[in-house]
Amino acid sequence: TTPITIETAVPFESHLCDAPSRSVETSSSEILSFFRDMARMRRMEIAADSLYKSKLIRGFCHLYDGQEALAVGMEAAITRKDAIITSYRDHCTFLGRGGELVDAFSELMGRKRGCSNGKGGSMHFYKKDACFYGGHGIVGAQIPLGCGLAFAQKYSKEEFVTFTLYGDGAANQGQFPAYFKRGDYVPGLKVDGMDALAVKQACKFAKEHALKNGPIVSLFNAFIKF
Amino acid sequence: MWGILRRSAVDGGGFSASSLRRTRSALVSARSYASGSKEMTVRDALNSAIDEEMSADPKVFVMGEEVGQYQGAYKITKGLLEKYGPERVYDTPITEAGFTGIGVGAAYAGLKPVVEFMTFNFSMQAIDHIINSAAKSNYMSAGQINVPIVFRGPNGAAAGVGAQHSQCYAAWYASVPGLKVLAPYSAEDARGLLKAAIRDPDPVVFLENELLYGESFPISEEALDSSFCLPIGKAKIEREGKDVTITTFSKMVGFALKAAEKLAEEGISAEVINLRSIRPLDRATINASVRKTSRLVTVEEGFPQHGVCAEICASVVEESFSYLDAPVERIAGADVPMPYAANLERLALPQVEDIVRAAKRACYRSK
Repeated sequence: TTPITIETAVPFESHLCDAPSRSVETSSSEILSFFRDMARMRRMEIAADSLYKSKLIRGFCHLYDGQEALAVGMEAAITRKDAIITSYRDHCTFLGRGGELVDAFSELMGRKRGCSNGKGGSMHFYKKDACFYGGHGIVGAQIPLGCGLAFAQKYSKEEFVTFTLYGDGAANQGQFPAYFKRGDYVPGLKVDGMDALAVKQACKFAKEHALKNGPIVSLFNAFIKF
Repeated sequence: MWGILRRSAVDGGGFSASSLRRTRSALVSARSYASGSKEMTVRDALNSAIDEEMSADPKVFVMGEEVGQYQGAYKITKGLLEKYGPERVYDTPITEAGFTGIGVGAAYAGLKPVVEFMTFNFSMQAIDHIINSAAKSNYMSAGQINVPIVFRGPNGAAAGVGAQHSQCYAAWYASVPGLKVLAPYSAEDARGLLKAAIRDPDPVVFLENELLYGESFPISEEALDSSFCLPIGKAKIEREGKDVTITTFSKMVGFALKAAEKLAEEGISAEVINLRSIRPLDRATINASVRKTSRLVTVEEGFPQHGVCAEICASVVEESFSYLDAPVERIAGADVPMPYAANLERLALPQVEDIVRAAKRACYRSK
C-alpha cells in the first residue's frame, strides 16, 4: 500500500475547464486490484460471447470487453453512494458495483438466481444497494434519467454525484444534443479510456467539478475491437 | 327540478359545460350524497390534493410546463410556487422527453415527482420514459427499483382543439403492465384518487379532463380531510339500477347519469358505474352488476378499436356470459381523427342520446 505516483501516457484535454494533472496517485495493491478486476471482466465477457454464440444466452448480448479500464478506474475514484446509470452494455458496470459473477451469468442464462431473477436479461442488470440504476435498452434514455438521479441528489442536498454513461450512438439521440447544443457552456474532458489510472484521475476530477460547478461531459476514448 | 331536466333534454346533452352544470345541480338534489352542503370544483380538488401531499411529504415535488410562475396552464398548480418555492415547483422547458426522463430518474432515487403534461397528447413525446423507464423497471429489476411517480394532465377531447389535441390515451396506458391508470370524475374522485396516486409507490397515469376542471360537485367533510384517500382499483356505483349496467369514466359519467334519468322516465332502471380506475380495472364490481342486470352498455370518449370498452366487453363475456340477456354494447368516439368544426366534433363524440339508444337496444326496446 505504499503510495506510487504514475504519469499517464496520454495527456488530458479539456474544454472550458482546467485539465487534471497527469500525475496519478496510486499504490501497488491498487494496481494489482485493477488487473484482477479487469482480467475477471474480460474473461466474463469472452465467456458470455461463447454462450451467446451457443444460444445459451438469448436475445441481445452487448459486450464490454475492451472498456474494462473504464469501469475499474471509475470505481476507484468514487463511492458506492455515487450513482451510475448506463446503457445496455452493463455487464461489467454491474461487476464494478460489487455484483457477483454467478448473479450475472445466471441472469444472462435466464435463471431465477440471476440479479434480476431472470426477468431482465443482458440489458437490465441493476444493483440498487450500490446505487447502480441499470441497464437501459433504449438508446439515449439513460441520459435524462441520469439527470434525474443527479437532480435527486441535489434536492436531498447529498454530496454525491451521478455518472451517466453513454456511447456514440446515444450522442446523436435528440434528448442529449437538445440540451447541450443550445450553447457552448458545458465543460468537457477528453481522456484515454484504455488507461485505468487516467480514468481514475478524470473521474475524481469530474466528481469534484460536478459538486462545485455543475455538469461536466467526459469523452473516454476506448477501442472495443481487438 | 323536472323542468330543468326537460330543458337539458332538449339541449340534447350537448357540448356546453353550462348545461352540464345546470343538470348536475338538479341531479344532486335527486341523489343521496352526504349531507355536506360544501361544493368544490375539480380544479380546486386537484390543487388541494397536490398541496396537502406536498405539505405532508418533502419528497413530493411538481414539474411541468408553466406549472410555476404561470400558476399552471389550467391553474391546477395555482399558488404552489409561492407556497413551496422554486426548489419544489419546477417550470420545465418544452421538452417532454427530457423532463419526463428527469422525473423518472428522480423517482428511481426515491423522490416523488408529480409530472404535468399540458395535455396527454404531448405525453407521446415522452412515452418511452413512461413505459420503458417507469412502468417496466420494477419488473425488470426484480423489485429492486420502484418508481413512485405520477404523470397527470388533461386527457381526451376538449372543445375545438382539433385532431392532435383531442385524443384519449386511457386504452393505450391501461394496456401496460406496471402502470396504474386512474380517471376521476367528481371533485371527490379528483381529491381521493390524486392523493392515492401521489402516495403510491408505483407509476400512476392520472387522466383528468379539461372540461371538468370548472365543474362544481358537492363534497363531504370526509373528502375534505387531508388524510382522505380513495382505493386504487375500485369502481364506484354512482346510481343503482336493475335493468342495464352502464360503465364509463371521466366526463362520460355525467352523460351516463343524464342518460339514466332519461331512461328512468321510460321505465328502464340503469345502474351507472364510474370506473375511477382503468388499470387495475374493477372487474369484480362490473361483473357483479352485469350478473344483476343481465345487460351491459360500456361508454368511452376514445377511439373504439382496442378501447377500454372492448376490454370490459371481453371481461364480461369471459366471466359472466351465461348471465347476459343481450349482446354487450359499446359506445365510443367515432373512428376518425377529431374534426374541428363544432357540429362534426359533436358527431364524433358520444352524446346522451347515443347512450340512451344503446341501453334501449340492450333492453330490446329499439332497433
